[in-house]
Order: sequence, then structure tokens, then C-alpha cells
Amino acid sequence: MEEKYSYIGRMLSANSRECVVSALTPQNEIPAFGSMLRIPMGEGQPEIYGVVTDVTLEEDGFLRQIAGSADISEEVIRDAQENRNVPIVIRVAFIGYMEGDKVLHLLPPRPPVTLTEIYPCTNRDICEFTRKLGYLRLLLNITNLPAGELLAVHLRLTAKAHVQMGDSDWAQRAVEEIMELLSGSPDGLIAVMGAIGDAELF
Amino acid sequence: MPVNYEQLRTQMKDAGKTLRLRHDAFSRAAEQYEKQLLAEAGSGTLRERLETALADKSETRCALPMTEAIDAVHPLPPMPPVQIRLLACDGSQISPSRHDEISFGLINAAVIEIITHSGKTPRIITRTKLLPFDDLPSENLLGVQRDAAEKRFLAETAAAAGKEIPVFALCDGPLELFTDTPDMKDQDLLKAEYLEALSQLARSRIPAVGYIDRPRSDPVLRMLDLLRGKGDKESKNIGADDSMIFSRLLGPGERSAIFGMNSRLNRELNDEMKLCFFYLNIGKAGRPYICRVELPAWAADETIADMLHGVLIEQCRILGGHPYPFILHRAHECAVVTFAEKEEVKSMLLREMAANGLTPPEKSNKQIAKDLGIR
Repeated sequence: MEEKYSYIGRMLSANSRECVVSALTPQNEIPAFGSMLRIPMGEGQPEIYGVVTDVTLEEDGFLRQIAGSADISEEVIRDAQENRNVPIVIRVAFIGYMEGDKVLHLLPPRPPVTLTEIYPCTNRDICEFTRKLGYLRLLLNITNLPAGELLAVHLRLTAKAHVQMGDSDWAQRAVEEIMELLSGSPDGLIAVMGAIGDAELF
Repeated sequence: MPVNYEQLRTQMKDAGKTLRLRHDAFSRAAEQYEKQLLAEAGSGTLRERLETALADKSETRCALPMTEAIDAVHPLPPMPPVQIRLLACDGSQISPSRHDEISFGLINAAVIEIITHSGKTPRIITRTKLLPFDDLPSENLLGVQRDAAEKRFLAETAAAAGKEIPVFALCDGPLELFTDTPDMKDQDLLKAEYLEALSQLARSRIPAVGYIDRPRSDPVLRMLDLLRGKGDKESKNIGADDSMIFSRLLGPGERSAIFGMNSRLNRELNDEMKLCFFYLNIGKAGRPYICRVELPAWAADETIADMLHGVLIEQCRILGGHPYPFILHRAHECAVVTFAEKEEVKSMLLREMAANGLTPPEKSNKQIAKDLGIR
């Protein structure tokens, strides 16, 4: 059955490699670190795919003031968690795009415009986009966080989607691809494989 | 550079000296007023003398003693973890501007309901009204319209709420509606609407409560002036207000006696609805912070006042070092129309204009120039 789509936030800023998205707490579940999102650019335009590389729950002075109080009642905590519009800022690294039915594991030709809606990927989206593994090269090139940690979580989430869609060998192929990509960098390979080992993919 | 700091430098030196002199005069006045309050509290002729003084100056806006001594101090009552239904309302508005693409007005009001010690998620309800284009109000009138809309919304929501536990309906600011701008049209209508909201709460036996943070009113000082037989010009010049007495009289968490009020509004209201007030010290030892709490006369008994006293202190403590009732701040957060929301509403209007075959207008040239930024 096709999962229901609903956007999780809107884009605040972007460059050719990544974008920053603002989501609101109460409306939706917070997208997980390493999970995949898609950014439709409109009719006749490519649909960009990305991976969540950071999630920041922004504080404000009011929350800071409450947090400093000795006793916080359950009502106040529930109000803060369920009612207050505390912005969540999500950083998304681009891993390619789709032009029609064609998957391209390349950085998008141009970034999306501000306030574009961002959607979570369904299992079908994930499997279609990651059937070929070229996009892993883009993930390995991310330099502002430990690539191994991101890859481990991403592979765990993506492998689960493939298993649910009937492909139980995807994780094996993905790990082999990473080993191939890092064959010229023994130190990098050791770090990444150490993290992937903890993901318990097999 | 827009400010001439060189010119300000010498003015600042003078300001510092002036502020020092004002502070010293303020302290002297506070001491004198406190002494007078304590002396008057023990006087058996206080009410009689005040009545005589008011006979000549019936319009004087001042405090009136009620049943208890005017220097009465009530300690923070025990606060058992009982459930109390607190409702608070606040509002905000978009004021029409001829410099926008389209001049429009909007009133947004929010009510938040918290049941203390329930563990339940507070409930938030908002009401948004686009104002008619053929009758856009002035800034002043819009403020009064908003006040009236807030009170009506609060009264309706509170009247519909369950009464199985005590209920209080809180407003940020005085309960009194100030509509004395001479050119303000519809003010009688708005005042009637406002008073009907307070009556609705009274009929439901829900105390309407006005919470005034850092009050600057001086009805108790004016009462003492009347009793002394003269006004104190100096105290007015130095910005004296009732806080100057009660910050000395009240310890942390304590509240004052409940006072009545000789005001134009109270002279129009029946005895049950007349507005009363007390002062509350929500500060710490050595750092008093006085707020003023208004409530109708029918609710001004010790049981209700003590419960209100306790729940307000409890609410203030949630915000820790800068105490203010949590529920009022949340009502404000829920009601406020942000710049982004104003822009969104404007976009909606412009889209509707386009859908109806109209060419969307532009901002004024002045606004366009301002939007370019300042260097």
C-alpha cells in the first residue's frame, strides 16, 4: 500500500550541496538522522533527494527560563512539547535527483528555492533511488560530520526499507560498494567499517 | 551614524545626577507614605475622613478601604496540589497601514486553558477576525476593539468550561477598559460589550482577574493624599506609585489588603461588579517585585483571594528568576501575530484580489525605500 505523503517542513536556505529546513514540533514526527527526504521542485523540474545530516532543536529564552526552574509541572512540559512552536532545523545533504523516471546520483543542477516543501521518502521512493549505489560517493564526501556515523545509520534505515520491499541483499551490496569507494584510503575505510559494524546490518 | 553620541555624552552625565536626586526623593517619599499608611491603618476615623474628603472631590481616582485594615499583610497561603482551571486570554492585531500593498486590519485572540496539577496538555483556542474594509479603525479604536474581543472570547470560553473545580479567568493588564479618547467612535458600544463579558463571567461565578506587571498606578497614594488634605506634587514628579509603599510593606510571596476603587467605571457598576485590587510581591528577599491584581467585588473574599494568591505565585515560579504568570506569557505567545504571519495574510488577500480580476497593488514608494535597509 502506498504510504501517505505529508511535508515535514519548508526550506530556509540552500547551496549546491545541501539545504537547511525548518520543521515545527507538534505537526510531524522529526525526521531521523540518516533518513532520506525528497524535495519536489515543481512541474517539469527535477525532484531532489537528500539525507538528513543534522537535526537541531532550537531553544529560546523562554524555554531556557523554564528549564532553570526547580519544579516543572507535567502540564508545562506537555505544553512545551506539544503546543509550542519550537523550530526544528534540519540539515539535508543532497545525494542526487530524479528527472522523470531517471535517477541521477549527482548534485542537483540548482538548489531548490526558499520555502519549498520537503517530504519524507516512502519505502518505494527509497528503494527506487538507492537501487544503484552511486549516491554513496556523495555521502562519503561530506566533511562536516563523521561519514562513518552517517553511513551506518543511513544504511540501517535504507536496508530496512529494501527488506520490507523484498530485497534482503541490498545492505551487502552497499557495504561492498563502500569498500570499493574507500579502497584507496585504508584509514577512512577502517573508520567507516568500524561504525558500520555497529549498525548490525547482517 | 544616526545618533550623535558626542552630544549625548554630556547629557548622560547630567541624567545620572538627576536620576540620583530622583531616587533619593523617591526613597524619602516612600518612607513618608509608608508611615502615613501605617498610621492611618490604626485610625478609627479613616473611612469617615475619606468620605468627607471625597464629598468635595468625588471624581478623584483613588483607593478605598474595604473590610480589612489597609496595612494588612497576607502571607503566602498553603498551596496544596489541587486542580484549578486557569484560563487566560491575550490578543494582538494587524493595524491598517496605507503604505502596505493593501490596507487591512486583523484581530487575533487566543485563550489558553491549563488545569493545574492535572498532568494534562493545556488547551489553546484562537479566534482570528479580518476587519471590514469599509470601516477600518484608527490605531486607538483597534486597541479597544481588541480588548473587547479578548474579554468576550475569554468570557465565552470560561462560561462553557467545566465548573467541577475552581476556575479563574485571567487577563494581562487591568480589567478596566480605557476608552476615553474623545474622538473614538463606538466606544459606548464597545464598553457595553466589554461589561457584558465581565457580567457573563460573574453570572458563571468565575472571577475575572486582571494581572498588571510593574504597575505604575497610584490609587493608594492618592487616597493618602486625600486624607492628608493635599496632593503631593513632588511624588508625582518623581514617578511615585503604589509599588513604592508595598515593596517596603510586603515580603516575598505576600499580598496586601484588598482595596476598593473610587473610579468613574466603579461608580457606574453595581456593588457586585465593582473592581477591587490587591498588590502582590512576587520578588525575592531584598528584591521586591510588585504586581497588582484586580478582581470584581463579588470575588473579593478571603477564600477566593487566597486561592488566587497561591495560584499566581505558583504560576510565577514556573518562570524562575523573572517571575511572571506562565499562563499569561503563553496566552501572549499564542495570540501574537508575527511579521511572517502578517505577510502570509497579506499574500492571501493579494491572491484573492487576483482571483477576482484585480491587479494586485504595490507598496507605497516610501515603504519600498524603507525596505531597502538602512546603513
